[in-house]
Amino acid sequence: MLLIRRIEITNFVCFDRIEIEPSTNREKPLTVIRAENGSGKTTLLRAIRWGMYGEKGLPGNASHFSLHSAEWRPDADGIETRVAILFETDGSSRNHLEGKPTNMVYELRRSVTTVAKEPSRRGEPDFRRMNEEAQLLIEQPGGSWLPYEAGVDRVIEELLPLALQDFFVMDADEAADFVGGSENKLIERRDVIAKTSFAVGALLGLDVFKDATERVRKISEDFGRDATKAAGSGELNEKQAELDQLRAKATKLEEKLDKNRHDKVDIDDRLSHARGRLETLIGSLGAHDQLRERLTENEARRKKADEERRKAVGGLSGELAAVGLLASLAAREVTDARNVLQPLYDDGSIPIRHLVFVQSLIEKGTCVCGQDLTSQSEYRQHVQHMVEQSSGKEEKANYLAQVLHAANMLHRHEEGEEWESRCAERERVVAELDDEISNLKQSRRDIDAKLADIKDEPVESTRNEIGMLEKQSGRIERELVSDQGSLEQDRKSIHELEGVIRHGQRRQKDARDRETYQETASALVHILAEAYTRIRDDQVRELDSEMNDLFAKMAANVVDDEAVEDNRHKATLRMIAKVGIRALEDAPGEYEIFALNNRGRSMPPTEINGASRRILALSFVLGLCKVSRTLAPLVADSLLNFTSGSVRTNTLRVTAETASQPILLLTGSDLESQSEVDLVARYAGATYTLTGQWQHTAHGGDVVNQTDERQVSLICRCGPREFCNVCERQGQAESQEWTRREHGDR
Amino acid sequence: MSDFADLFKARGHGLVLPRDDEDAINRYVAMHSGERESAERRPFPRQVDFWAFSIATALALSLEPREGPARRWGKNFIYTSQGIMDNDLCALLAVIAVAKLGHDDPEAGEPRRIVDLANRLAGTGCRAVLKELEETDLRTTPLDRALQFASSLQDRVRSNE
Repeated sequence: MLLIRRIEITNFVCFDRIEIEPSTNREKPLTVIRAENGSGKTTLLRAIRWGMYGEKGLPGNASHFSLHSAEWRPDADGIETRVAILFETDGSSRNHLEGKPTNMVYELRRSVTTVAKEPSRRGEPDFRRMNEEAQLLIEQPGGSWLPYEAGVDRVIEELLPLALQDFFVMDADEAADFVGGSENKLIERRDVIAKTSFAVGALLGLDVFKDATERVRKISEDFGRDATKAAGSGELNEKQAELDQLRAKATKLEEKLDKNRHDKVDIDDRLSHARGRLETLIGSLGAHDQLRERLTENEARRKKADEERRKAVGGLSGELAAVGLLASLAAREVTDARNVLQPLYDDGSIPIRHLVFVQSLIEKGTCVCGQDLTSQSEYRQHVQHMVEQSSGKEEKANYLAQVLHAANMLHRHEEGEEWESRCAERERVVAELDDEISNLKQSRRDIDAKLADIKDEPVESTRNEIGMLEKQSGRIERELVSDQGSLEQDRKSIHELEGVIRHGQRRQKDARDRETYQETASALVHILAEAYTRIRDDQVRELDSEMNDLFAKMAANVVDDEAVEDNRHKATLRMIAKVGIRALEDAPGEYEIFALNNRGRSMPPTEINGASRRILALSFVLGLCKVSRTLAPLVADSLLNFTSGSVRTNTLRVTAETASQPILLLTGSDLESQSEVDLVARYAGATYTLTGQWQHTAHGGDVVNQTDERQVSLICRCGPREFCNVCERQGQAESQEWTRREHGDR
Repeated sequence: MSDFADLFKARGHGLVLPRDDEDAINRYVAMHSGERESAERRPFPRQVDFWAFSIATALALSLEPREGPARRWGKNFIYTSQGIMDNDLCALLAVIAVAKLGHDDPEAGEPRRIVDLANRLAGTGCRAVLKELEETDLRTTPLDRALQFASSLQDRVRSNE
């Protein structure tokens, strides 16, 4: 077990001098350091890393990273930065110093002096650091301190390896590298695997097994070579040379296999990403197809409505030529004509009906009055003359009769009401069609807008990419199988050659002894390899299960948690059905964290949001510490960023309950709900608050009191919803939820 | 009653609209659109429909037939021999001629005379129709305006009765 007892920081960026004593109380292991954004949380994390690892613990180009404050003005003596970390170890875990099974207390002191420097080219810093010193002291039984002879780097590397700095002293963004990087920084799967595998190998002790196996194999081979020499046979020496060549060839083949396996991992990773992309795109395409159907339907309905409207409007325009309308407008003339012609009709003038009657009387030869019309009488001639005169007017009279008939027919339209009601009906139809067309237009606009959001071009290119990657994967797979076959053949040859050589060696006693050693060593190699595989499988299985449990605890209740406002976050957490770690089949000793969706498909990091990645990375860190029984501090910055509702509360609880010494750097908003305040009260053995003096109201911030004129960050012991003279911010004094601490420690 | 149509078809009498208004009239006649344009913008399916509506308008507004021979101010757009007029329209024209010329006018039943009277009525009614259609109210279409105008003419005729 390793516990940090005290951290002292002097002249490190915004800290002039602060001292933190993390909780070492097993009942209340949590230490909360609260600070608003820009108050020095990350700087504190960097100070701890620098204290442990020196320049190697600084981000980016370390020589450009200034440890001194921005306000520092160079003087002759420079400025000395110091970090001292007091920690203790016991023999309860692998993280104790070799051969020191009892509780030991150490102090790691690191210091460096920054002096001014004239930059020789643009962009070069105007300072340089000198006289960096790192010292590890061990407390003696009497309370005195002596330098520890093993050296700082070796001890720190043994306790908290540099490669695991994200693991124990984590910026949650960087810890997300274990699951493919944070939202702003995606990293290659190969790098993710390397980082994860290192952590798993180092903490589960698997690397020790691998090293031991390799060492014993080497010894076994040396014994074999010695035995051949001892046999003194020229033929055996030749065989031995052949064996060495074969072994060298096998080693090269193994290296090639290793490289091809890595390449295959990369290609499979890209395949997985592309398939995930395709799945998402095809999901969109499903919607796309539905929209297309709706669009086609919309277009058909629109076409029909347009046609109906065209007909209706055409009908309406036809009403302008309707005889009913024209007759109603010419009503006066129609009436006049009727008035003139009707009397003529009534008296038989139009048409001239009596002419037909008179004609029949002439043919008969007798008039109605009895007058004879048969003979060529004067009377008959007179009647015939009259008839002939009237027949000239017959055509016109008949015509006028037709006009009267027409006028009577047209008279029926005079009122015009029929025309108006027909027009009104047609206008109603047009108005209804206008409404329908307007709705269809709006619906079309909606569909077009949705369609514009869905891009289907990438589908084909993604399919092509998948096809290409599958081909590449297949080629490497075939190469792997072929190389594996060659390797097995070589191993068989090696085994046969070893048999031949062993047979030859038996002729000589000295050689026999060495052969015995070689056989023993070979057996040991076999045992170690077997043990490695079993332990690895067991522990990785245990870690896999532990991670899933921890993740489930942290994501619990998210489905019904209405407080989770970020729907995307909620949706992602719901989508993740299982998390864990798996050994890569083709690459022994390499591991990868995975998340499966509810259809069992592996989710690439691009599909997992920031909050989910954080808690997944945390599940790995906490799970691995638990399975490896590593009891070490966990200094974490921004751990609860992007989380909200029950996920935030659960994450805080699980971390407090699982980590052996959690030191969490949190913002005020991380602790805003009562459940988080209660958790801190329950689990925190120490609380601190950092306050940047540059956040004073005079500088546009909300810090009420400027207790230091310098641009430094001050520390007090206030916990959640507590404030003192140092950390008070506007609104806290008036709020009933906040309590004033009268003696805020600095 | 197909006799009237036959009467007009028997010989070709030119139907005439004012030459000066030709372009304006054609703006409202569908058959003069290059493409199949909405009837809302071109409310009259054919020139003869515009011609007939102009006659009815002149009568409703009690306008006098245009003076002078039609060939002086008008332009033939079609001949009756082409059978452009249906029997109802022909009958109406015959009725109008009897009303206007008197039943005893020897030419009251002459197609030539009837068409001449109709042309001259169309010659005066045409301006009134165009005046209504050329209103520039963007909220209404020429079809709306033509229908409204027709309706207002009907009201006017009724009130005069």
